Amino acid sequence: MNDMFDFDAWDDPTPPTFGPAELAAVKRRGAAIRRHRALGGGLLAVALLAVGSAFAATTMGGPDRDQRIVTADEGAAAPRNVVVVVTSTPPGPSTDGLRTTESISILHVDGTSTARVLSLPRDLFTGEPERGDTRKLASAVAEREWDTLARYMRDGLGVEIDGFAVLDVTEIAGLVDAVGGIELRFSAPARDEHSGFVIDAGCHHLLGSDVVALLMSRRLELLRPDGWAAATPTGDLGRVGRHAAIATAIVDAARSGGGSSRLAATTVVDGLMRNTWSPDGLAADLADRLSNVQRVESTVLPVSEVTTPSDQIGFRPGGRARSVLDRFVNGGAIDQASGSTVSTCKGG
Amino acid sequence: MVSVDFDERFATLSSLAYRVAYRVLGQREDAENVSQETLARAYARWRTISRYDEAWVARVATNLALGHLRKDRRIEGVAPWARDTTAEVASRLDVTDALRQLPKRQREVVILRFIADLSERDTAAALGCSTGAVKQHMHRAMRALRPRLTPDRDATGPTPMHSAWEGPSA
Repeated sequence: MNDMFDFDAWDDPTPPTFGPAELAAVKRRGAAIRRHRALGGGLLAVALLAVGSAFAATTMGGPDRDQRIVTADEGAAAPRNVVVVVTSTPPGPSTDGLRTTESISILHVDGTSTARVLSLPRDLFTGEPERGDTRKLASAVAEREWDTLARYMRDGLGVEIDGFAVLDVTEIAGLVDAVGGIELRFSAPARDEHSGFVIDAGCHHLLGSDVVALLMSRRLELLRPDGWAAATPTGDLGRVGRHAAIATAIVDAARSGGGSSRLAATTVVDGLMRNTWSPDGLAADLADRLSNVQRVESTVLPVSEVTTPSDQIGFRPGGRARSVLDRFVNGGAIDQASGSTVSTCKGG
Repeated sequence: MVSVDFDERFATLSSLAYRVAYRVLGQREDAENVSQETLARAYARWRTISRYDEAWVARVATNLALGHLRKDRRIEGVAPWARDTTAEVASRLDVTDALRQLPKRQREVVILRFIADLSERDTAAALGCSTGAVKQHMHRAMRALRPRLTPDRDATGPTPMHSAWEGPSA
């Protein structure tokens, strides 16, 4: 190299020294960065927890938050599987504290940049219905039988559960508002006359109440050339896809510093994390792992319909369930739920 | 123990970050700030990056310094060291401008190899790619940089600037 571009000549002739005072300052700043990253992971965790899939809802007694159990294994590299129950309070004056289960899903996080959400039907039998054991996931949730649920998911589905989380959709609205709303693209004009959700095609900025209406939508319709038609032939798959798009949009908004008040976002997330998890280190561990997550995959458990001798109708894992569960737990590609109706505005 | 390892490496890594930042910024105070921010980020992720700490620190310090330069120019219209009139300053300006126009991966390779003085192997480790990929990015970067840094090369043959960007010996 000649003199002009000899980078050695560009060096500071009297560089500073770096001692204990500088080290202490760096550690203080590093600790603050760690906290910030944990918050980012927390936002993603809450977004993911908020939006599993949902199947037909029934009114039931909501799980008592004081009785949530979390049994975290502190193995640093072990994947985490957390059952997420999203509830809502039915409208009307006489709900008497009852809640509707909007969704039951399992969030799987390992050391990769991909998180997975497996949605389970509420009417999945947890026992052997042919022999009169007609207990379902929904009733186990209603009865707060977390041990029973964990055992069924381990023995029946092959998924070791690390913890349970319960979240109400109103908290999702708070989170969306705290990050300043989210951006979603609709492939066509959409409506749900049940939930009151109506929107035109294209990219839209949605606030918390809109997002909750979309989350709870069970009869979303799109305007086709020949009139209004159901958004997808397989409604539940469509819902899972929409929920995944919402989760991604929340994370995008949070990471881009969206929202008029970052303090508000912090407060919401702190509150949700405090209320949702037991303080045994699982929340912090998940937040740390989720801070690296860039992609969310979601799918539903394949099921087949079963009618019991007493004419109860429910589901049990179908023929393809084993391969889906294997891929869900071990990291293979899973069948993505369709999200074509609603997607994020980013990159498009 | 994470903190012990970091403490042991602190002085070495700080000096590296400062040297890289100073080469880009040419300004002591800003280079110190970049160095501190780089080391703080390294501390926050020490468990992950400690195996290739020097490469990681060099890359982050460079990116922070370039970001600082961009922000500084937006505010003041020109980099702080460019307010001087030395030929060295003009050269820095040319080089950093040319670097900013490179695709991200090519820019990182050039910076790690030239400004941070990393070997091809360390550069590959820092970027998570093979040494072959490093060579390929370097080759493409050189091809893109030459016309920007040697505008009259056809008339006069290779200029000093041209020869400077032939690259360090591997």
